[in-house]
Amino acid sequence: MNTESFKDVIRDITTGFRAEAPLPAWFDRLLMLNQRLWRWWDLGWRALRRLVPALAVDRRPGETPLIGVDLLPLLPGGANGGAKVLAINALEAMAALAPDWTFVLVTGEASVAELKELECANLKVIPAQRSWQVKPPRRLLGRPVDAWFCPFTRPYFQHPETPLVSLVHDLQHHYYPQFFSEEERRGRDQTYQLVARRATLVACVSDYVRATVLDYTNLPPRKVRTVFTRLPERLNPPGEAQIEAVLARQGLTRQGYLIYPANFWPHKNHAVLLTALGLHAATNPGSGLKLVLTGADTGAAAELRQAAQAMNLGERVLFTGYVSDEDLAALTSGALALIFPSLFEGYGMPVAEAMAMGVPVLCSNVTSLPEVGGEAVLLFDPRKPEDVAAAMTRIAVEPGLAAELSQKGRARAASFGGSQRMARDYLDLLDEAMRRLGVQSHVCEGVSADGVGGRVFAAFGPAPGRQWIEARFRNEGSAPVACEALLDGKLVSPRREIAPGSEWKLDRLASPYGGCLEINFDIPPGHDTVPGIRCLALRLTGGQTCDLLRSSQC
Amino acid sequence: MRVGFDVSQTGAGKTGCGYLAHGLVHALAAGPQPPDFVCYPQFGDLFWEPAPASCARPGGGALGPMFKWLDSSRRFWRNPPQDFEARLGDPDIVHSNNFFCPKGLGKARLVYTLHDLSFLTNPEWSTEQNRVGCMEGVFRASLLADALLANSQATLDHFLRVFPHFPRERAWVMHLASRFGPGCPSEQPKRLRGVEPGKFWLSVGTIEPRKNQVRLVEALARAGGSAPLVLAGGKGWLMDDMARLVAELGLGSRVRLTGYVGDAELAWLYANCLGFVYPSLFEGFGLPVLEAMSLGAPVVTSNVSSLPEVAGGAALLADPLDPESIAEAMRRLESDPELRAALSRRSLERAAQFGWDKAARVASEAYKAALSLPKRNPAP
Repeated sequence: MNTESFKDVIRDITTGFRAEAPLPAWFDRLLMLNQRLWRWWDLGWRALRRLVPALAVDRRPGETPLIGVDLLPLLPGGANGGAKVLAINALEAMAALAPDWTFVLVTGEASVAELKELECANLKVIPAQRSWQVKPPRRLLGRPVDAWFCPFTRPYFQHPETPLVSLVHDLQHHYYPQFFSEEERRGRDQTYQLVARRATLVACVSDYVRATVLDYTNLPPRKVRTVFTRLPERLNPPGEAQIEAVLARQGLTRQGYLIYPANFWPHKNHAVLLTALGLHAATNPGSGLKLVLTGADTGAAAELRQAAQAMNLGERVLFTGYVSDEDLAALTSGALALIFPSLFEGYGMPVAEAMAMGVPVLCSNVTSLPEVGGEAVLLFDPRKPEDVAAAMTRIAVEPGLAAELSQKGRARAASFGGSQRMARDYLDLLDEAMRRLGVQSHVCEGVSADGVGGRVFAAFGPAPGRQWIEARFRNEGSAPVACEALLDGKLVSPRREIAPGSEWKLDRLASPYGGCLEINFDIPPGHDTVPGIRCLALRLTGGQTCDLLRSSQC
Repeated sequence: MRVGFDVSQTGAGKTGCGYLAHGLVHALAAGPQPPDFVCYPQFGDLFWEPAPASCARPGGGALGPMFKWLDSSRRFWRNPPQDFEARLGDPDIVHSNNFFCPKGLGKARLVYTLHDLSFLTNPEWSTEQNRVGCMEGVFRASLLADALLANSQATLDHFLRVFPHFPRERAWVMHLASRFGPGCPSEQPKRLRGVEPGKFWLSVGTIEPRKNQVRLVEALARAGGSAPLVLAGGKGWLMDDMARLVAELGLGSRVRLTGYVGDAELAWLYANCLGFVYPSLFEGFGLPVLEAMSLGAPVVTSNVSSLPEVAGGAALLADPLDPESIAEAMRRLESDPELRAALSRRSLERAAQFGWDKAARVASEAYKAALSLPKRNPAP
């Protein structure tokens, strides 16, 4: 038995995932009581939906899909942090790459005006309607929605029928619960459980996040994919004059400071950074190295400002408040290095941006940061102030280190490719979700094209559409063989004999939530296989065909 | 003088921090000019005592704010309300003992007990949640504490090295004291019926990487001899590794785990061991060493952090990273009864130099200085 596939099936079933539910579950169950009625109903329903365009909700995509993009949590300004930057850039690139796809951005009233600027031929912005959260829309702009894309993880408007791709940024609340209030924690937990149940495919911004999702949610690995964030060129490299102007305005000298672009959130670890700067200043009295902290002015910023004063670092630490992208690019370009002592990141965009601009990077060796920085950055343990201080001192005094890191960083950022490549990955993922390729999990044992063991066992996950299970066996031997079949533990075909030369058939509707089929043959003592019995077919049909026979292991 | 005293860790399951707070508050209350105490069985967002009634409360003094739920307690301490100091009982001094450092004190002076800084050098020894809380508390204390009481010179030096901005004149070294002494009740642990007095090695502490029991067991294998090793203390988070190592070295019959032992049983173990071996990798103070000495046990301990300071020349020192070094000390001790007797005598002498009354005198001095010096960075 292939345990990995088996685990997949169990995980799939236990998530309660169901890719397509054209009718209420109780109606399905009612019809399931009568096989024949069900089959006719199914055929009729399919034909009707093909003929009447208004009913064509399960239209096979391909030609001109319409993607609903759930941007309800989007806020105007910078309050969403990196998630918003990623979403906007990815969507712009996706719309440009796939002119025959239509993207409908659904958002709150407050953000519509800001998003309107992105509108183009195949990218539309509409405000969400209040009723949608109760009754999710199947159609937008008069056309059926082929798939939902949720760049902020939580689906608000997805109809259970519509395939869903959800983007997971991080599971920080799981690793640092103390940084969140009780309500935030509960909300995040709910979000991830909803995603686990509903999403056809889950996209993660880095391999680290994927590993944590698999660790935490018990989703089958093939449903969880990494779409590595590739936005190194988001910030335009500023001109010399611009850099000089910004530095002059802030009273900084070229390469005389380190920069840490981060909001003053607890996981950004500013306390250790200030402690490390104090250590560096104490051990290198001659060094005039400064530290620039960007990030919106909040209560935490005021507290840190006071801390810097109390640590006699008032002259060395510059709080700029929130800065525009242009100023941030200039400040980063002019820095000796970017320092990034964060305790938790899903990706770490500033690291990639600095590398692309050829600015040396000193960063934490935890979570996704080593994956982003690779060999091109100077890593330290963000929990040890002395380690951070040592990295500061190295970059300030070691000749050639800055140049080496700068060169390696540029090469690494170039190897990431641009947002085009990331957009292509997202499009592929959406395409896969719409076609529901390889979505179904299954496992089978006890049967092969050559022979049949005494007990055939096949388990399958939730259906990409409705599923029928079909089994055909022929007795090519000379003696009759008895067999019986159980579907989901229920006896569906009582024990009877297959006469030599004749065929045994089973054709049943299987649960759309997944299940298992067992076929028991009488096996003569001393035999590994049932003599004479050959399997002609063992497969799942319905939305798509899944050949259990071929994947079976004896 | 009204002192708001954090007694949050003085409940039933005390560790080093709890013994310090417990010993200190009782010694202060018994001192010549006892201050008025307001006790805080719930203090800060790090530690939550499930049975606050079991916490120390000398003289049945006033109680600070009490909360039914951890969440409301956290909210109170993290985001101090307008009437913060009034709700704390209008103290002149707030004394923190559990790593949490309150903010929002406009008038009351803040006295902070510093236990150890191992989380700065070896963060992997503690949970991340605990490390973050300790870091936040110590960092804030470096900015706000009007007086700092470090439990050893080694801890104070470490603190001043990492936080050079802290004013040296506001820091004191306050050693702990042992709660045992000759004549205190003692009783052989029931689980150790087969162990004979004077014929076993003893080590105390939760089984965890910092306490270095792994190298101690290796040293036991190298040292030879036949005396069993009694490990007294709760089962930590390295138990499986430990059991495997013991089996690999073929020491199954020589390593005895007692689990948690009561005070009387611990006293018997200290008083009757062949030698107390404590090769810890890092200690803020190292209370078990002093406890062992107070009952006359010959001591072998590490030559790092605060341990040489506590041993004060009355113990054999070994390199905790080198099992051979520990084994060498154990061999010397086992083969030389005269050395054992001498060390036992010196242990008692050394232990007599520590006392809670001394700690209370240091704390009183720190309180006076904190009140006479201007308040550092008062909250608006």
